[in-house]
Amino acid sequence: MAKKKQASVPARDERKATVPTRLSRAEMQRRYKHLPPEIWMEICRLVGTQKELARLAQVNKYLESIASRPLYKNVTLRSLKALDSFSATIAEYPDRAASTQVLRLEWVEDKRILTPKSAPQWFVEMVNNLRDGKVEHLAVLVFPPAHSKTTISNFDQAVQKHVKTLRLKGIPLPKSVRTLETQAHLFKDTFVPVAPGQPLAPLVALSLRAERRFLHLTKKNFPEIVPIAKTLRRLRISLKNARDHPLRFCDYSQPLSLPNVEYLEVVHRRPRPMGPLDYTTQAEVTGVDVNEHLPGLRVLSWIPAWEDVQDLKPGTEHRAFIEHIRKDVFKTLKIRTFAVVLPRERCVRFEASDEEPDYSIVPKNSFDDLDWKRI
Amino acid sequence: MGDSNRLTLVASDGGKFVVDKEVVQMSVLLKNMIEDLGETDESIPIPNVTSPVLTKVIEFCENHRTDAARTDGPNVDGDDARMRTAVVSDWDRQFFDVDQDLMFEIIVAANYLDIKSLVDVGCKVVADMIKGKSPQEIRDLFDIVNDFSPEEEAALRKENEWANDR
Repeated sequence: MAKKKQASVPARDERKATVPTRLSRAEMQRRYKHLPPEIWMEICRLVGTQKELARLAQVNKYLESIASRPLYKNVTLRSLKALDSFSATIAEYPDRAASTQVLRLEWVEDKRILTPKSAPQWFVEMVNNLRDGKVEHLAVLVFPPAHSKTTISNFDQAVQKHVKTLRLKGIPLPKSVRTLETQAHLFKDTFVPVAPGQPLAPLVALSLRAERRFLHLTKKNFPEIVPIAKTLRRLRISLKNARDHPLRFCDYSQPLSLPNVEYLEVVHRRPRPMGPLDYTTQAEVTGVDVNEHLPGLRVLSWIPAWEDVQDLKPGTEHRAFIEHIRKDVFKTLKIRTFAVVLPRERCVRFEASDEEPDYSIVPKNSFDDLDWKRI
Repeated sequence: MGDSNRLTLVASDGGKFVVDKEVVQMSVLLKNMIEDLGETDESIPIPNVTSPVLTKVIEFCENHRTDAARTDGPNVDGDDARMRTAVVSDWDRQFFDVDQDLMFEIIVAANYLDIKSLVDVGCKVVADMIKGKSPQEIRDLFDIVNDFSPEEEAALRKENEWANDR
């Protein structure tokens, strides 16, 4: 249900009707120092943030027509207020919803701000309005306040409660989504196919953030993945308080079989940074036969919960640990690349065939856009 | 001319510029044109670019001719090239320290001549000028007329409110 608009704000069609004369393209270009649209589009790309793009869109009609495209193409909502506002906008202007390709809900809750009862409705409405759109990348990552006792955000709880109260099967995931980043509990209980009986959107990349040391990646826990198991190419598993060998990301003996996953990223999170000696180094205890369940795996990327590592020269503690893990990884897995991603976007990358590691900068969005040959 | 490594460019106002082919070839348009023409003593007219603008464009190309050689190397990919242009160098910033009309004309000429590095730097300079400014400040900066009615402006502000949060 669309929210009521303020009486003073005219609808878009009315606004169009009030425009006295539309400037010709030539006249518009003359006014803006002859810069052609493709140049302004490049300037928009460089201006970067959506806040700046929104300001640019407000300068005049010509720049509004140019800046609105990148503004609505890549959307990040950083608060409930922004969710409310964006949900209302795309409810009223469907063409805005149609241009969104990347949508991220990403914020840490403020314990002073209560989650309104209508918040889940905003979310449900927004997702519904994106159903026939082009959203390829959806991230729903709302975190509880820092130092909170609960591990699930009020927003996630409210969404789950909303689904139960209205006896919904869940929130239909738009069919266009190919990359989904979300909390494991939300994925497990909340997202459903757009139509009953149909498989979930054919995801290519899935990022699950768990609030435990392991992710129970089984058919029972994640039945939604089974029908799309063959489409998945990239998997990211983020674990809390993990101090285990990176190969131990699942402690169940019968995990899902994901035959085409070629990139696996294991992320370890801890409230405080830790050093290599805090880790359990035994890989053998893993319950997952990765070669059997992830037979297509080519790249394993591990992000340990280390503090800022300054020195990786041979003989140092961190380097010795990385070498140890590397031996395990290549002994256990038939993969091409093993990478350890360190703070400040640094990366130690091993190829199966090489003895010496390659030190490099982490490719941005390696999970979203896998192309490790170029780093 | 006699010197096969140099050629003459003729600006829209008739100004003639004798330049090294290597420099000229930073322009994809001119590079293709030279390849099509083959060995020739004929000068090349640049009908859309005036002498003051062409002077600046040549100055930029002469200063960046070695960059072009580097980007042709086998180990440099597009990302590296983009990273180099992500920050505007002091020389480039000084190069664009000209009046605004000339700055825009240089960018338009670079776009016409297809000189990617010059377009990139020009766009970056303009983007840096815009960053942190309010819509009114941007209008003032580029002498842009606000053609929104107050109602339209209010509606647009409301429509894009989500983007202004934080």
